[in-house]
Amino acid sequence: MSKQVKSSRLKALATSLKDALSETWRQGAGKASLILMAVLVAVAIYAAVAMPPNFRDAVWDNLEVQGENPSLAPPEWVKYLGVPHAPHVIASLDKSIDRLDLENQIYEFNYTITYSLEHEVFPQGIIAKGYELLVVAVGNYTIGPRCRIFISRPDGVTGLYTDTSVTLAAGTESAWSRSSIIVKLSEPEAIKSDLLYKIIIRYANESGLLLLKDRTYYIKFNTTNGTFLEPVGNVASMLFEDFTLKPSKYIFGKVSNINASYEFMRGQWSLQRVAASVEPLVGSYNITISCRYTALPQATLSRIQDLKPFNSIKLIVKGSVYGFMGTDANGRDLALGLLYGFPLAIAIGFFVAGLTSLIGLIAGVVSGYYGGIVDEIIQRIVDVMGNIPLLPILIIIAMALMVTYAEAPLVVLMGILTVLIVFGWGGLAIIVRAMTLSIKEEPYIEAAKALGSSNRRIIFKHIIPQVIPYVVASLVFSVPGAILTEAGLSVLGIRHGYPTWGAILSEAYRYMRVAMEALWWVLPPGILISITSLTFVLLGMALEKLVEPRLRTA
Amino acid sequence: MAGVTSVLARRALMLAAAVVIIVLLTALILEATGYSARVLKAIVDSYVKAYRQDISRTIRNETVVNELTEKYRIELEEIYGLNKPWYVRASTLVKNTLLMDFGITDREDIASVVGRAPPLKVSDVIAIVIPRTVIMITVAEIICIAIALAIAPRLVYKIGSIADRAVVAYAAFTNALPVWWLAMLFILMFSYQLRVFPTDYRYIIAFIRDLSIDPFANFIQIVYYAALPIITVVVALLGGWLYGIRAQLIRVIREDFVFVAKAKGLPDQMITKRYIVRVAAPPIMTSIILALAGSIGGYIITESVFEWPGMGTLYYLAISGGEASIVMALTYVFTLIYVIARFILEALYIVLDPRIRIT
Repeated sequence: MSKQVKSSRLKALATSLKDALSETWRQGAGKASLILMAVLVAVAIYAAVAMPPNFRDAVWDNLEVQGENPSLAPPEWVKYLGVPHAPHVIASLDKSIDRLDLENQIYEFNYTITYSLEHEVFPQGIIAKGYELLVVAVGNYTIGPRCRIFISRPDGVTGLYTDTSVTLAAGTESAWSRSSIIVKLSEPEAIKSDLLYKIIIRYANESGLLLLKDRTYYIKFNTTNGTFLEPVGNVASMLFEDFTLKPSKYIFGKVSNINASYEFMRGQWSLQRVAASVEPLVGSYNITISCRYTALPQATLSRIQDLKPFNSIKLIVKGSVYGFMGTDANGRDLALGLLYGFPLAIAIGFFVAGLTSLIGLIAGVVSGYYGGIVDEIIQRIVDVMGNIPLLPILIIIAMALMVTYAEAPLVVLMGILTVLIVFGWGGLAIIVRAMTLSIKEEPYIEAAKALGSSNRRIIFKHIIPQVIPYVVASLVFSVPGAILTEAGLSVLGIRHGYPTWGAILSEAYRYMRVAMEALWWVLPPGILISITSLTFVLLGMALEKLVEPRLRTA
Repeated sequence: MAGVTSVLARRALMLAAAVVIIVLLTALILEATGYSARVLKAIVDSYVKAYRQDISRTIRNETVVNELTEKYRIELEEIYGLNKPWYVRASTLVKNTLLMDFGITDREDIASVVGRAPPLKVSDVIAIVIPRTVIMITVAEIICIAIALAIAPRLVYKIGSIADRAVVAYAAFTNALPVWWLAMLFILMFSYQLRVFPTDYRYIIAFIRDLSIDPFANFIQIVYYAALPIITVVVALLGGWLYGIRAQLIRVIREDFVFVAKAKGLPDQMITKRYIVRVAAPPIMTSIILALAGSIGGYIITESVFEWPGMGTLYYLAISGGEASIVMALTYVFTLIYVIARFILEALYIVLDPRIRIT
């Protein structure tokens, strides 16, 4: 084929494409669908470029990342709707107050932020992470700082929240180095936190007695050192247990009562549960991270005195609201998942629809043009496929794949898509065959044959160009089918592991009882699935009118 | 008439062959992939573990315990057919299914969907569960069809009007909407937030079972429990029906004989009735009958979202629990119903419309 012919063909293709586009644009539905399509594709391309390639492992299913976010938090903008909230604060700390006390061999850094709570809502917790830790060689050990978080509350209570020391067994050659360990300060152990003692002391009534609500039962409470006296050691230990379970409730709260529930068992009263009734305490909190090196040799101290203990520290106060789209029950940022869903949905839809249409086109043309035994075989296969209950077969195969290839999400996803393709081409093949049969009988085909055209030439030159518009319309119509089926399978619990919109919905469905208030979790993925499908349905309807003028209404 | 019989016989043969192939294929997928074996093995392992713990309490000698456990395992593998190669299991499965000998199930989860204590005959399981799916899905389809048949003929003269455009937009919108997501949304809104409808739909089991004891009170309860699922399915499917029937009628309205009727000055109503609906009736009837036949299979995902104890939920439990005999039985029953419906339709066509007899 000469170059000129090729370019003229391309030109013809471009013209017909342009015609089709402008014809589609002229219809209301067509215009809407083209605009929607442009938006979808633009977002999908942006997401595909902007998201890290290993998004699933590095962000979406990364427990570290999930732990930094509040769980089941509505989007941040709900505050403009007047919803009471605790703000979510991420602070990168770089300004510290340093204290170098060479005489006592102390080298200390203090970082402070102020967190203000305006509404009576509990924040979900405090977490701090230090990166690139400065470690110092002392004898056979490599020593890091002792890191503590102090909290000073609006009611005047100040106390130690959590306490961690870093010591590595192996020594290093040099006097100091940066370690790759991430120092994490999060949930306090009850015994290491004196904040609770202080909070309870603050709220114990003046006589030093706390009233237990369920039964008229007094416990003796020592207000000077905050310990519970006999015979209620159990009350104290269970209270601390409650504290470690829900630390943020106590840290940001004022205690009004301590409730203990007793049960009469085996002839005596036994303690079942202790929990304080706590209400949120409004005001500003000072949160201080203190990192302190002690007992360092003087020579080393003077060498490291210009160095910070961490290259960067991140302090997060987990609020009750998060981001633009909120979070799910695990604390995943839904905005990221939804964004990542765009390229996945478009890819899944086009992959399945494209291959299905291609197979349908080939099978239909071959079946119609050549006839005979080939036709018979293809028609019988289509017949059988038309009667197969597709969804059950799909579920069986998908479950088999899920069990066998749990570690290879791509295999599971591709397996599901392959089944959709294998069982999906029958309908189009029948239509294409019928069209081929009628085109075959046209006089110009006979003429072409008489002129000695090969079968190949007739198929590619005369039949396929006429069939293509229908195939394209059917392709567009079948895009949403694949997206909807994939989402439906996810809801049934078939997990390939990629965060598609369906997978996000399936999580919401799994947590239905928890998620019943979480509209921000259930609505957006479904709306996105619907909008994407609607785009293709509208485009399909517009194209259908182009290829089937009888449907034109106006 | 001889031609008709031979054509029908050929069609019947083809459809029967399709059913057999589908049964074969299902068995092959279940057994050849090793899926059913893997699930069964997990079940046997859990039984064996429980058995071992049980006998360890009374027997101290470890070798005796091991021997007994091994014996028990072999027994169980014999019962579940795990000691045979997959093709033997698959062929037994195919043979039993085709002969309608579906066997017995002793699965707790399946029995709880049925609402009776195991063991249960699989044929009984299906017979008990079908009415529930009919109450939800088939009733919803019938409502959709009735509404669509009432509205669509009124639209054919007003193509392009606001009402017509609204119907098309509604159809496009619901076509893009997953039914099960609508179900989740409606449960969230109407059951949890507004508390108008129930949240746990399993209670329908008792009301259907006791229908004969206190028909009136139980019927009211059934209506209350079925309302939201039916509303969901109707909202989701109505658009498709309206659009489909409208399209069939539009095809006819452009035919020459309708123009002639119009030119003769016949009233619109008469034209609709005699010249449009009557001509468009066969294809519409086809889609109605096939849809009703298909509805008996239930909606696997939507039923699961409602936890509706119907065919869809049963199918899903059977698949996820590797209960091959029930999967086979359900596939067989659906396919059979569907194929018989198709055959009746084709027979009607061939008998009623001489043009089709040639093929």
